[in-house]
Order: sequence, then C-alpha cells, then structure tokens
Amino acid sequence: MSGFEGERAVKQILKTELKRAFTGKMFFISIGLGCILAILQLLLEVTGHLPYMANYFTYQKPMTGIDYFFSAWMGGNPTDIYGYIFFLLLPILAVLPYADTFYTDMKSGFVKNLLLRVKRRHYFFAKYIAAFLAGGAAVVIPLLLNFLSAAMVLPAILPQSTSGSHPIWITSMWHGLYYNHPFVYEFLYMGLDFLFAGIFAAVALSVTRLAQNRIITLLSPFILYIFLSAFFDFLGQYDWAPRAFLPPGSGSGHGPVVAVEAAVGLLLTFFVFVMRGPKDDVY
Amino acid sequence: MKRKHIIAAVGVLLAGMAVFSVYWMLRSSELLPENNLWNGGSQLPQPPPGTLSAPADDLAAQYNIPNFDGLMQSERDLFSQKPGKTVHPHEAAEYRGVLYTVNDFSVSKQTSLTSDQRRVASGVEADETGTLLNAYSYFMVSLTLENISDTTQEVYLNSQWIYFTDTENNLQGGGGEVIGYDGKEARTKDFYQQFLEPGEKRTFQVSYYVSDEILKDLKLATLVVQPGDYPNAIFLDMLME
Repeated sequence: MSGFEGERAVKQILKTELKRAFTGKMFFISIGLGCILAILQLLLEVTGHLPYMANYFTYQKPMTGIDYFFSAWMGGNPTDIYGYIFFLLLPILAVLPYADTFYTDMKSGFVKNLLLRVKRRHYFFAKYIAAFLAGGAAVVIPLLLNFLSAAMVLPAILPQSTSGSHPIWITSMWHGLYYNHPFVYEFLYMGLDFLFAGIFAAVALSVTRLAQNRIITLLSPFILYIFLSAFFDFLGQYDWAPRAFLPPGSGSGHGPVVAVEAAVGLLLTFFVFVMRGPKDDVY
Repeated sequence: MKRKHIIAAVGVLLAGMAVFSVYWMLRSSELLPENNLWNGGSQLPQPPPGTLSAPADDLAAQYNIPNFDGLMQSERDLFSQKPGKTVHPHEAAEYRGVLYTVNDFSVSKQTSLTSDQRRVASGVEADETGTLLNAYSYFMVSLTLENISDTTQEVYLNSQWIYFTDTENNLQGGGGEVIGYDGKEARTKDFYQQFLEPGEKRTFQVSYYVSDEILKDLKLATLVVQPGDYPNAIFLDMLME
C-alpha cells in the first residue's frame, strides 16, 4: 500500500469510527444525562441570582458587586450540587459514548470483518481518536449549554476579586485570565475538560485491551478518577487530583501538574492502545 | 501471561484502588461529614477551643449579648472582646496611617444629603427631600480623617459600620452600612473612595439609618472602622445623653 493509499485508508476508517461515535445511541444518552444536570442547574441555581439583580436596580447601589455570572454557572461554582455531580460523574459521561465499543466490536465479531479491509494499526488509531473526541464532546456540550444559557440570564460583568463572589485566588491557575479575560479562561478550561474527558475515554480503551470485560471497561476511569483524589489527598496534595482541578471554578490546579498529568495520560494510553494494541490477537 | 491472569490482575488492581479510595474518604469523612443534614447537625466545621469563635456562647452570656438577634457570630465576637482601640468623641484613633475622630453626632428625620448622595434601603420610606416618613431616622456622624503617614492614603468611607447597644448592654441588630455622605455628588462606583495626601485632614458627614425602635433604648452607638480586620479594627464610641 502506497503512502497515499495508506493515508486514504486512515481517513476512511477514521470517518467511519467518528460517524459511529457521534451518531451512536450512547453518545446522545451521555449528553442527555449531562444536559439534564445543566438545565436543572440553570433553573434552580442560576435563576436564584435574579432577586439580587432586582435588589441592585431597586436600591440603586452601583458599587454593589453583581458579577455573578462567571461564578454562577455550573462549572463556575465548586459548591454547586449540580456541578458537583457533573464533575463527579465526568469519567462515566466520557466513557459512555464510545469507549466500550472496542470491547463490543470484538465480542460481536465486527472487528473480524473490519480488519479484513483495514490495517490493524489504522483501526486502533481511529478507535482511539473517535473515543477520545466523543468522550470530550459528551462532557463539553452540557457545559457549553449551561454556560451559554446562563449568559442569557445573567450579565457577563467582568469578575472583581473584591466582590467576594469568586473562588479564583492569586494562587489559582490562570487567575489573571479569569479577572481580565474571563471568556478566554472559561473556554480554555472547557478545552482542559475536553482533554481530560478524552483521556478518560482512552483509559477505558486501554483497560479493555488488557482486560476484556465491559464492566471493568466502563468503571475503570471512574475508579481511577476517585483513586487519584484519595491518593493525592493522602499525599496532602488534593489540588493535584483531576477531580479537584477540572471544574473551572475550583480555584485549584497548578499548570505544571496539569500538564504532566495530561501528558502522562495521553502518552500512556496512546502507547498501550495504539502502539501495543495492533500486536494483540483480537479474534 | 495468560489472558485470564491479565484480567484478574487488572481487576485486583482496580479493586485495590477502589478499596483504598473508599477507606481514605471514610477516614477523612468525605463521604458523609460527621455532622450532616440527616442527623440534624451542621456541616460547618467547628473551630477548636480557644479560637475567636469558640467561646462565643460564654462571652455572649458574660456580656449579655443575645445569640439570636440578627448578629453574625463574628460581630458578637468582635464586640465581646473589642480587641482594637476604643475612643470617644473628640478623641482620635489610628487605623493604618489615618486618624479617625468623631466630632459630633445627631439623630434626625431630615437630611441635608441630596438624593444622589444617599441611598434608599429596604423598608425605609422617604419623601423627595429625603425626610423619613416611617419608623426610621438618620444617624449622622461628623467624622474627621487625617492622614498622618508619609504616603497618600486610600480610604473608603463605607468601610466603617455602625452598631447600636441598648441600655441593657444588648447589641441591637447587625452592623449598619453607611447610606451616604456629603463628599461626592454622584453615586458612582468610586463614591466612597477618598484619597488623603500626607498631612491632609478632611471632615465628612456620614449617615446611617437607625430604626426608631432601637432609638427608644439606645445607650451607645459605635462606629467600627474595618470591622472585618480583626484585631486592628478601631471603635469610635458615641454615648447617648
């Protein structure tokens, strides 16, 4: 197969895998679960700020801080119960859409037919990319829905550190961005959530390769997620756990730690699944 | 290694991680705090004995400060201990390079503040000139600020709150927020901000609302400069005649 044909083959299998990932029933179920939390948070928490807005206008207190928006949406408030549940379930939401399809492909024999036409490494690569993107999208779409709909309710006034409404401190990652360019901060954080959700989906794929069991596949990223929280807490560094730093309003997170964890997650899962996977007997 | 051995190893590893996580969360009471909504307890951690908040109940009893009077715990503590300097009218107290002196104080239904210099609070009714129509009055304090430092001082006139104590030494209600003063003309965001040059001295009439109910038994009004800055806050006491 020439280089050009190889490239075309990768594109073809990638296209197929992406289509399966983004039109699958589980993708919509995962997004639906996230969106239920996002809508509940909007109706029960975000709208709770409206009386304060009314108070602000009624009593003419222009020096009052009404910069609630960036700390009121689901990702902005670490004490919000809906945000808490959403970020607690993040690995499950990321895994549901597509990460177990490697297992089901093998179990149903689908992979046997596919590998007659496609090279193994292309299939593993496409599966990794599709699971990664679907996992990331399943987490970010509800966050975006909540963020944009909250923006229709509350004014996006620039956060002021003195208002006391914001959990982002001088020690928080990207605090300068938060107080100067909050939209950039929020979208960067959503990118970070996308990345880690993708990594959790990739973890599930890698675990499937090692232990072909659907329950283990679906639960392993969640167990890892909780384990990392307990382990870093045990070390006295809870802020290093993804559970701590993934909510944009957590005020946790240290750039180098986040970067190292993301790099390790990406490289390890890529190595285990994409590099080593094609050598397995999948029949 | 056989496939089933790998599966078993991964399973054991995950089970180990899960057990450790549950153990650690139970140990640090993360799963369910000791005092929680189900057993009727507060989720707020209790401060250790000896800290500012801990002996509040004792102090409240000692100083005859009721517990459920709309005051925050920190306010009760602040008044129980009065950690900062306390002065009386015409005496000055320093707070971070600025001397604060109460020259005089008065209570009235009328005000000289324009509508742009004062704000209306919830429950208070006033006519166009600012004359109060229901059971509230203005508590007006003539306050002099003097910069005794070598640098320009930035002062916020809404950083002092007023507290009222009745004849039985009970604090009445929470701290009253300033409602206006005679400095700037428009209520912009920097309305209460003042810059004092080294050696500069300025006098303002700072106004608060007080309910007529409180006025009936009022013994002492106290202007607290920076009540949140324990223990540096200063207390400007004004004894009623």
